[in-house]
Amino acid sequence: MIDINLLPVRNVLTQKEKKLRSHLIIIAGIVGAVLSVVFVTLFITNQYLFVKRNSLKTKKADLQATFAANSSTIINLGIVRDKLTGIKLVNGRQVDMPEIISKLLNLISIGTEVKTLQVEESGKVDIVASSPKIEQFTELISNLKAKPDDKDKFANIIMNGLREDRNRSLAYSLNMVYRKTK
Amino acid sequence: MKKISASSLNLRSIWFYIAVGAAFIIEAYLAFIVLPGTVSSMMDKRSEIEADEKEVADLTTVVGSIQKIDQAELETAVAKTTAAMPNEKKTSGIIYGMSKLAGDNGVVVNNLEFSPGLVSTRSGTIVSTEPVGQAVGSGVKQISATLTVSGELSKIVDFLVELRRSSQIIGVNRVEYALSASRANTGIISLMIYYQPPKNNAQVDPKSVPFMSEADKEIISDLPETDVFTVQQ
Repeated sequence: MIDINLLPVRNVLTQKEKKLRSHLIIIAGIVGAVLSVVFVTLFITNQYLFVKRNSLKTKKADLQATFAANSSTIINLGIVRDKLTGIKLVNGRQVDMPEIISKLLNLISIGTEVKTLQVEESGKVDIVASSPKIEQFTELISNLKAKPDDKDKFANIIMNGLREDRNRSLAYSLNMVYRKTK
Repeated sequence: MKKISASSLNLRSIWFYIAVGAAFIIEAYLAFIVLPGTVSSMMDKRSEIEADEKEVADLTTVVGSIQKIDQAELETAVAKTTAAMPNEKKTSGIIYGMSKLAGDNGVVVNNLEFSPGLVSTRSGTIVSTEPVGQAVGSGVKQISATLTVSGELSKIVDFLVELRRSSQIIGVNRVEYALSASRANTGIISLMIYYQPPKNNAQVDPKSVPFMSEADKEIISDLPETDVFTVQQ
């Protein structure tokens, strides 16, 4: 006896293989769908970035052109900056010479005559003066004596050659140093 | 018959697996080769956009600030700071300005000498070579000068006060005053005259535009309006 299989060949697949094929198709389909979604999203995002980048480039070029158009203002600002740097540097080195002399002259009583006066950048002051009365001389010495809370003062005061001159005035010379605390 | 059917079945199975395999290979290629490359390129584009956004924001701020600048105020600032710290020695301007300031304060200028080099007013004319500037720092140069004046001590002090307040920054290093037996008052004033040759500011980076601060404006407002050291034409 001979067995003859009359069923079509395609129906001969086993259940196990059928399952495997359908699983493979489903997996390939899901992966393909996910990838499609990802690539479509990427495409849209890429287009958005492209447009945004171009828009920014245009805006940047416009701003750079405006910046360049204001070059004279920028150059003037540069000049002011450079000059102010120089001014600050020089001002930091300046000694207020008129202030030192004015301060000293304010301490000298009326009648006292300044014969010579030398004031240096370091604050060193040398003065030769004559006072007709001893009171004027003592008043000057008293005025020169600084109080502890004085922010600017004459210190290291040395007196030389106190004598009576031809006009019977007291002639003297004083050496001192002007100090100012900030 | 049975042998033929099995062969046909195997052939169809092979094509199915080749097709599914090809699909997986393509998907793997897209997922592991194309996708990272695309994402990386987009990240680069995103970084570029972020950098551009920052640059545009900075430029917008800078350009906005530049456009808000009061041009008249800026021109005054340029004029005042340039008068205070001139671009050149301006020796003739110094002679002119000193004489004017001294005259206004009751002091007579006897002589003004610049050194090294010599420009003297003793003969009434400017003579000899131009003095050579010495570098101080920040592009500032200085020339020394000795000014001899006649006048009472209080007037000389007034003159020094005015000199300190004047348009150009001039340092006073030393003051010598003497009252002679003939009652002649003489003052010898050692001066330091500053100037600053201009720098080339043609190329300015938008990130470093030197805007004036409030402190700068205060310094400028303290500078005098009129430049006494410029010879009027």
